[in-house]
Amino acid sequence: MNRNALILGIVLLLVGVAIGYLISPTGQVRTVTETVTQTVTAPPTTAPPAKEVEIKVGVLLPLSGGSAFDGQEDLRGIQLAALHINQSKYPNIRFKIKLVIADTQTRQDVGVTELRRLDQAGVAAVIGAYNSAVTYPTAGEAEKIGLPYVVPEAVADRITAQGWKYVFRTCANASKYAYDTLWALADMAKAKGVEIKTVAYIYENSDFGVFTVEGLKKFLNVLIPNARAVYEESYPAETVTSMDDMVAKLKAANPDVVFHVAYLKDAVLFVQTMKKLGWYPKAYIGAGAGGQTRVEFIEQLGKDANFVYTQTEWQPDFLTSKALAKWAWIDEDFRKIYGRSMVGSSGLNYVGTYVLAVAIQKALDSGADPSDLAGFRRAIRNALESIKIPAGELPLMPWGVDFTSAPNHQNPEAAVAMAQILDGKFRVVWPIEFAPVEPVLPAPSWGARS
Amino acid sequence: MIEWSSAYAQLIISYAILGGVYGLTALGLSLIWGVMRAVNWAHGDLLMLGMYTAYWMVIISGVDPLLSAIVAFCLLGGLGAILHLIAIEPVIEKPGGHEATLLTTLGISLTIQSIALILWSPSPRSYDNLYKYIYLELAGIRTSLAEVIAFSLSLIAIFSVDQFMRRSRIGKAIRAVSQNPVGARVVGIDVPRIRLLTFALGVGLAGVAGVLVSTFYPNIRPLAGYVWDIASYVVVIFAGLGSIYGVIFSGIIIGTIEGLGTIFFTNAFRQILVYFVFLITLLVRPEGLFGRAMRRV
Repeated sequence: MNRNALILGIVLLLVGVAIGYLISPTGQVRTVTETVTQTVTAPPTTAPPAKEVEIKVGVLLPLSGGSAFDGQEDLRGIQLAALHINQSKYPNIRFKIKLVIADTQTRQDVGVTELRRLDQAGVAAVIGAYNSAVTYPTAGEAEKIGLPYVVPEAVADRITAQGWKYVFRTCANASKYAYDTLWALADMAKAKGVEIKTVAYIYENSDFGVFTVEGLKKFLNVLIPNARAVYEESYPAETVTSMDDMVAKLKAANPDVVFHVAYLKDAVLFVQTMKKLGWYPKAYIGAGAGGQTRVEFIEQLGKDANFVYTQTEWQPDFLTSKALAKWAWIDEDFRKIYGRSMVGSSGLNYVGTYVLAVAIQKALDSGADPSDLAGFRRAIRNALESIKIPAGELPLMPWGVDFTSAPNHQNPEAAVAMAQILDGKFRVVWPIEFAPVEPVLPAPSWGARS
Repeated sequence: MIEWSSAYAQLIISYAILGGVYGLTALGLSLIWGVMRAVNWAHGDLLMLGMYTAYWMVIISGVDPLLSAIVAFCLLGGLGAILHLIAIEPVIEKPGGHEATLLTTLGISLTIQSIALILWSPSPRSYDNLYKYIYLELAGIRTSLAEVIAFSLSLIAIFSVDQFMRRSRIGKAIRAVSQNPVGARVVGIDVPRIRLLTFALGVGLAGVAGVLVSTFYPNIRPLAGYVWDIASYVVVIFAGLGSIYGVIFSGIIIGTIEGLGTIFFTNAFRQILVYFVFLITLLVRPEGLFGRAMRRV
């Protein structure tokens, strides 16, 4: 009897193993294998054995209000990163993330209130909050509380210029965005033999636009020595009903290059108005990776979006480079869920979540106890300060993260690429090593387009 | 110098045309305000629904967006009647009823916005139409056919509403209710029914305005009404409560002031200039520029 039971048990075990092998999704197996071979922050051999720990992470984003559209794209990146972590796609991260999501409603006061709520909810750290104008006061509040705060996308310089101990920014700041825009323009103009003598700045008048343009002004003559600004104007993006005035004045001033810091709706209106008034500069550049970098920008403008340049943090073109091809599975997963590739903001938020998760794992490995919330938050902060992930080993992005050499917690390695819309698609045109196509400079006039 | 003067002429014309559209967006609001003394806080949101009506009709059936103006008028008119029965009629004759409509329509506004966000997401949309891509040029001043059509239909709509008010029995009844609701009731006019018709007409006109705006303004999203709301309130108060022709004139005046504001100041400053002129006007002429017309309605 016992012998029969033993045989039955062995048979059932073998059948179970065989069925498990047959039904396991091949993609998942492949992904795990790749990740094991690529991840540098693999746990040390002395690390404690994996255990099922769940850590609450607060997500602070504008899920309603004026920036709801952008906030929801950010949330997609964060949720996908959490999903991958919880699916153990990254063997160096061995805990489960539980996201606690809060809506800033694109408002500073609501953002601060929601941050306090996240604190009360017992989150170990917070990631957010898209709008620089909301990120700044909420980061200040997090600093007071002693709550680690990772900023994956808000760019205003002042967020990290305060030297706050608990605030860390993984993406570039507005100055770096500005520097890279001008660097890209100078490189492309030189390669194409185009002289840039005059530029204009058009920008939405909140922190995003103001700080980005400040950076452009600071670095213009550093990178393009003979250029001068001939026109500058800001506008309220939320309530703007017409841009005829700005385009009419630009048409009269006729600058070679227009830098436009915009959200989606005003960027679309601006290009439509340029076409209506029959004027286009040698280069129209979406600075700060705002509205022009959205896929909806192309959807709404159709062929009129062609030749627009936009700064971009990430494009599928990156995955065609040798250095980043190994991360294609992340975008594949994104496409399975949302039916299209990631964009810069979802990519940045994915990376920010990954970096925070690596820091949380470091804190756990150091023996910090998640049930002692204040102590655990301090341990995460300390772990963030010791984060150093070289380029190529950070998912998706061509840059790395190094907070060990950044006293203000501004990631010095973050950079921004330049894309141009060609044949209805974003194509990376700078930096050259990630650029499969050449830029079209100067852009053809409206009349010369087919 | 020549280029700059051409630029200034361009933007004064552009903003005057936009002002005409402001007039249309304000017409429904003016009608409801003038007749019922009720502030429809959801006016911009109903206009937004008109934008979505055009969007979905073009996307789904590919019809001309101008045809969807008729559909929007009927759909939004019907919705307006329902909203009136839910949120206006039960409170308007109570003590403080006119003030209460402010709160009930605010509730409608938030409800419409929330439902729109759930149904259509906050993502801005626009649709292709021929009118947007046909450009008219005169003496170097350019505009799109879509804007010219919107401006022209604003004039036609305002003329039609005025004629309706003057010549039809219902229009005369509406005027009677606006002038003296008690007297109108005494002479046998069914005042609640007239209020219902007025609200439905006002909301239907907001729907038409939404359709026309959507032909050239690429920002169809659940919160898009807010932008046009502000312009509408300024136009209505500037014109004088209930003034039908006043709204188109004050719309054009406000548009032109905005245009001048962009010449002498900046785009960001143009609204400040509008509010400044608006404030001065109210100080000098509290009944609005065309206040006398209001009393006639």
